[in-house]
Amino acid sequence: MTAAELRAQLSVIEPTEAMYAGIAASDVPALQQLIAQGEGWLAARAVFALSRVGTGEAIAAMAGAVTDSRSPVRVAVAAAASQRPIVLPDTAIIHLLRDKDVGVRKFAPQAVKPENGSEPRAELTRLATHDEVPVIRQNAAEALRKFR
Amino acid sequence: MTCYTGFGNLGDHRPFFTGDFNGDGKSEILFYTPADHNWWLGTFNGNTLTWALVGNTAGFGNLADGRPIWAADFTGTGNVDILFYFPGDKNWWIGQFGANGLLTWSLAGNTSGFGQVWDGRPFWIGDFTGDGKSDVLFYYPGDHNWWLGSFSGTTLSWKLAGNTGGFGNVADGRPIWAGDFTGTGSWEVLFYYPGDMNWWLGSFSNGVLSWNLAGNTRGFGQVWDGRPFWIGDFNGDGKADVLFHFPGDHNWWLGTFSGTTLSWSLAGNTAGFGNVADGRPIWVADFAGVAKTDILFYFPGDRNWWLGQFGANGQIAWSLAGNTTGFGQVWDGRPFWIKDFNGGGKADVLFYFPGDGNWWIGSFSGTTLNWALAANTGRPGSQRITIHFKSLLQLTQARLNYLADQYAAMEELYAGGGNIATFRGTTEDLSGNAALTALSDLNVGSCLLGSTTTDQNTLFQQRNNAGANDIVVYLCNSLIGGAGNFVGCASHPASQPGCAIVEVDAARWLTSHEVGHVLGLLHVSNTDRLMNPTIGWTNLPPDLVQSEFQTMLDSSLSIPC
Repeated sequence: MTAAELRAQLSVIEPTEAMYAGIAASDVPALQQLIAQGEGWLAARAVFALSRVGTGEAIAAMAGAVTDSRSPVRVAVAAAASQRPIVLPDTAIIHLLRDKDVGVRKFAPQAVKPENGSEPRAELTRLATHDEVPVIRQNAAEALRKFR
Repeated sequence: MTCYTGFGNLGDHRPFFTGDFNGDGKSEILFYTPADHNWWLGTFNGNTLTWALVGNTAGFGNLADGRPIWAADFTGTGNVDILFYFPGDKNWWIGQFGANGLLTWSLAGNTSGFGQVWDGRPFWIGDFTGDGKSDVLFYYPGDHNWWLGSFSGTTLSWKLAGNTGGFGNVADGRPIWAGDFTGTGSWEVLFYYPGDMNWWLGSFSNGVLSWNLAGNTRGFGQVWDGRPFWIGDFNGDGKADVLFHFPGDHNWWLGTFSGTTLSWSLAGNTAGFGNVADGRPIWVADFAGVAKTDILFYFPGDRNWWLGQFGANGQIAWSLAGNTTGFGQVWDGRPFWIKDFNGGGKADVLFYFPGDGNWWIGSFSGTTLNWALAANTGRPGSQRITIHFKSLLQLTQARLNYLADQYAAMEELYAGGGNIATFRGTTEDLSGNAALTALSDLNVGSCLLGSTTTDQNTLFQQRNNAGANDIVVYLCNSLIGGAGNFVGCASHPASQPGCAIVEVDAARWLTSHEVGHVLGLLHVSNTDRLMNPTIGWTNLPPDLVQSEFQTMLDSSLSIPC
């Protein structure tokens, strides 16, 4: 699909899984184009679409979005990685866990997977005890329980 | 009952004034609202009318209680002022527009010494002294005295201008007009006495009124028989003329002054139009922008507009200026105003239609009258909903504009065929509430109606200023659900009606869509319709069908007016 076709397909107000139907590994470049050129909400949609594709290239594209200047995009990376059976690189996870934006840190703890290394877990532990936002401490503590 | 959004029904006979209040060289429109005592000034930028609150006179009580209020440049600043007299205490107050655009009031004087002057005696406003400032002139039938009030700064001083005891009571119903009939720069007073058919011109010199017999129209028979008269500089010689139309023979006669002598010439005949003095509106102003007063009339029968212009031969030439069948019948009681509102150097026609709250401006290009939608000041409905906005994001001007546009789109769409007045409630910035920061990226779960997350339950408790049936729209940074990021979600806790949205520049009807859900609407597949589940609506604005409007009207959140 072209970026324009993907944009049309992803322009659903309240998305369902059906929205991602037909989006495949071959669409990763176009999804990256949407991340680069789309509005924040659409770039975030593209991130969620990448999480459905789930290939190495798609995950790499997601990981690249953790430094996006738009917080909805970074929130999308954290949330999508939390929801899907995908593993982001440790460096990307740490970016998310240390993000200045509360929303990103709120969704990031569940993105830490058993496959991730010790450093993300250490960061998770720090969040569980020291983050200033209660819900982030709770989410981090809950995520840590998975590893016990 | 009908309820209105915005300013309400501006066709409710609240006082309106037109003039160049801010000195920008074009006319504005000003109105006073008795309910809240606010004064609003409408200013044109091109053909677009925008409104600003310019003052409040709650301290004066209700100014629309029948007291006289005039608008003219009384103080000679070049800006039109507002002057009113309060019969209760006999004070005169003048309101001036300052550099800050606001209306400030000064006590101009008190006329207790005259007794009660608002007793039906006639008043005229004009520059009778020729000093570039408008004066106040009144005649008192009790003693036949004429008093002239002139401003020095903001102080109104009165001078006895003359006495017309010799004329008997001139306030006996005879016509009296004011204007610069002799072209001296000072206004005169002109009256016609039906008893002897004489015309008398009263001129001011050093504030003293002297009278000259201007002529006699016995040859016309009785002209004060209900036929229409107009005053204007129809021939463009810099002096005010008198024009009348006689329905009996359809002739138009122009009276012009040479010195203080009034002479008459036949200006045309409109037998072909039938009886134009049948109640149709006829306005006189410089519509063509050539420094002459023209005649414009609208005929409700065929909805044609005709422009009459005086040629060099002293004859009126008529041109079909346009037809407004597309508007339906515009001569239905709606208010019209004539002034150069858009600064084109020509008089425009402005009207407000209470049926939809729209303002239309008609401007001439040559002899053709072209119409443009100038503004909307509130739409009517048989039922109303109230929308509050609460933002988890800092309310920058850009975000305020976004919410305003979302509201405007919804207000227009719901009123259009649904008869639902969408009231705008409060707008609250919640971004400074640290306890709510984490809700800016809101977990909406599956976003199914009747199913809410802990995040939603917490956020939707924020209902400051919202009534039980009011709908609260929360602006968030992102909405995260199981199937990705949502741009809108209408699932809400029971008894806390609302929805959440994010900023999507391309989705002007996003709030309309979500509030539609709150009011009971479901998705449809047709992309022309609002409730299509994508923002890729086609044939904008998106549609709501009648059954959807009925569902919205049936909602307990839609309140009968």
